Amino acid sequence: MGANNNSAGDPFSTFWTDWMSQMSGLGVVPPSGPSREDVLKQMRQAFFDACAKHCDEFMRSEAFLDAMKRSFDGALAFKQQLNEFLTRALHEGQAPARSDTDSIMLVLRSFEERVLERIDALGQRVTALEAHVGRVTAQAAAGNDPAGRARAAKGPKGAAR
Amino acid sequence: MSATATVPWMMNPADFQAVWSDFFTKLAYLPKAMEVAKKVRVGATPTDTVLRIDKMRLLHYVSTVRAQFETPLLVVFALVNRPYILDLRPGKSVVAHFVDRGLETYNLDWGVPSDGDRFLGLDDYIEGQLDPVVDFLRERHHCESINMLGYCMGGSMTAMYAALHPEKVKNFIMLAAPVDWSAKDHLLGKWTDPSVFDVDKLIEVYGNAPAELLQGSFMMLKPVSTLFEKYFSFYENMDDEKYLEDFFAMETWLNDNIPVAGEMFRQFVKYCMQQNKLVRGELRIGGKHVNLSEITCPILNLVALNDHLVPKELSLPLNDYVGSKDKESIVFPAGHIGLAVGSKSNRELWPKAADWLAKRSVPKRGPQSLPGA
Repeated sequence: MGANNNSAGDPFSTFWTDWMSQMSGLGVVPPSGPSREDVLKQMRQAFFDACAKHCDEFMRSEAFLDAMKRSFDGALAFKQQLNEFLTRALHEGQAPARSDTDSIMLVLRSFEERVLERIDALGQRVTALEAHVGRVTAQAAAGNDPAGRARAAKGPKGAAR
Repeated sequence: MSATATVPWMMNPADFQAVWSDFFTKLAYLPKAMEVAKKVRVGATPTDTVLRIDKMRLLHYVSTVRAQFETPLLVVFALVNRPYILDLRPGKSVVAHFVDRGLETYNLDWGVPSDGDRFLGLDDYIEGQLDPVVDFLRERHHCESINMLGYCMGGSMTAMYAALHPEKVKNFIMLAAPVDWSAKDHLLGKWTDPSVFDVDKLIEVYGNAPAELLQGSFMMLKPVSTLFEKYFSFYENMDDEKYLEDFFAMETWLNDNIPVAGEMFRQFVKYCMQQNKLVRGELRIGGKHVNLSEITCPILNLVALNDHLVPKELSLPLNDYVGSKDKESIVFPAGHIGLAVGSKSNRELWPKAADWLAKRSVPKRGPQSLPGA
């Protein structure tokens, strides 16, 4: 980003130059009489637009991203230390900490997965058994029915065999 | 030459007096504004809860308009905010366009995850919650497939679902939803780059993705607008009751943030935003590969031109990856939220979207009645 390479004064002057050029781009001219309020609103809008543009550029810059990363890492490290301290304090008082409930949740999820897998396997087995029972029933029905017997006798594979 | 001419924008005493007078007039409206803020209601259309799975609720929009189509519409919202933004207020309701068109409309409220839900991931949300909801609606309406509308992250999740279960989705509307994260030039793309943002560490430390972090990040994407311009606009319109009602309804929603289940957030950021696995066909859900080319239903991809959260480069490519023949994209001049609640989109875009869906839905035959009656 250009902002990193520039001297400290440059972004400042760039911002004001940009604001002024935006105002002239909007056709902001010295007010005369009743249009003063509109002109002030235009100036304000041009100022906000210039601010927004420069904020966006700054928040994309390596300097900002680096600062964000460092502050984020710092905040996470602090929170982690706090978590560890609270866990120890709770354990000292014979109380469960969040890490304990997390462990229980993980055990429950693993248990749930295994139960569901087992139910799935049993479901598949029941489906296979039902299909088999259906076939056997159909064969038995064909054996009792004279027309079925005739069909079975004529059949190339002899379904009633 | 007068002072006004030499210092053109300098205020004269009369201007100062006008500004002060205006300020005190506005100040007098403050109690009224507070009253409006207290009375503000969100949600334009009444709802019934027709299904609950854990913390998830399926809301059915109740309407006096008779159902004209057999195919219901399921709206799937993101996990980061509440879903009532799609039915914020009368005149600012996406849902109302579909309900008034005679489509049975449902909204999926994912609920608020607690610390115990930190291990819920894409598998749990898509196969464990979304799929049973779709099956419930198919059974309730006696149809093979349903219409789906996904907004933002909910749109990405719906695209994943439609790729895994194409036979259950009849028509699909994507609303400002990202699918291809290869473009990294947008601000959120830079902030979530793996070199800057360690999502694993965040989830390890916090459990769930904190609501405050999400809200703060979204706000900082447009800091000047959210921290200054908005309040100037509020000050200028303090005497307009309609404006105040809309303003406070919107503020209620913006500040009604919820955390995102940790594993879900980690998977979404890591696999989608950082590694772009969805369009590469490398994402696995429930042991199956998610292949967007499996989507064959008609698709309407609604994209916001000025979206700072989901730039159009992230959502437009969807149509290139799906296997659908009937596909259409509309790039509408609005922002991410404006696409749903903006006056212009409610006037021009949503009637068109409702027509698009109605044309592709199965008309109701026989006596028309409400489901379950």
